Amino acid sequence: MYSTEEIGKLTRSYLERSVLSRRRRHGPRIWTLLSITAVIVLTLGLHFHKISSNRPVQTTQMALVRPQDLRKCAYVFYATNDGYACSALVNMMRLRRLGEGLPPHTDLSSLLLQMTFPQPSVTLRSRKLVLKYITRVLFNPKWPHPWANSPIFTPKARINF
Amino acid sequence: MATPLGKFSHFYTESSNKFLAFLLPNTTYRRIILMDADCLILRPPHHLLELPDDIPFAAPKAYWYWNNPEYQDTAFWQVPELRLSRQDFLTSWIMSVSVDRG
Repeated sequence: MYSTEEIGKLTRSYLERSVLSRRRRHGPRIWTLLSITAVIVLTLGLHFHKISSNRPVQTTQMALVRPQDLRKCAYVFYATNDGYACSALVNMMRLRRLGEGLPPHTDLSSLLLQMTFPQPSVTLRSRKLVLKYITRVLFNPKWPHPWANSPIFTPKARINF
Repeated sequence: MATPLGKFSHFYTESSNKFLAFLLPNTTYRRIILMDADCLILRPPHHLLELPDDIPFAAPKAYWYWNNPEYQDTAFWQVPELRLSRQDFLTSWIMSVSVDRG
């Protein structure tokens, strides 16, 4: 049987041989590893800071809309006769062409109130033409439209809706 | 609808259909730009969509109203209080309307 003092001596000697000596032996390695990691982190931080500082300033105007506000903005046209319906189509096409910088929450699907409240001054052919334009051109994911080869309707930017 | 607009009565009766856009659901739309069909867009008016919410309505001033004798036949001109007050009249060929308070 060992006495209490002998158990203490054995424990102390065991600790000195195993844990304390190992900690002393691995101490410099840990500090070296930590310093190298710190250097790598600082280097990467400076690199990304340089990249972000060289990034061009965004000139597009940010929307003043709350993030949770998912409602859209819209351009609304109306026509009371065939001539005005044709003018509305021209303006829709120009909006599509000049759409660079359009806020992402904008709905370019123009609403023709005349469709909801029809009047006899707008012919049925004109209504069909407008509906055909809205469904096939404005909502067509393929761009440019075949008319885009025309010098009048040459688009400046590709718009994805 | 009877409109006290003299010889422009028929024209404005049809033209007032544009104000039906104010009835658009405010759950879907936040702000709309309402344009007449007889105007041609030269530059994109996208900035009018970015007006803050405390501006519920915006439209250009009809600066030509007081100097055009054709408009002096209308009922607005014949009301002395309106004529003498020289209020700023707004044109409705382009309007930015917040559907919430429009």
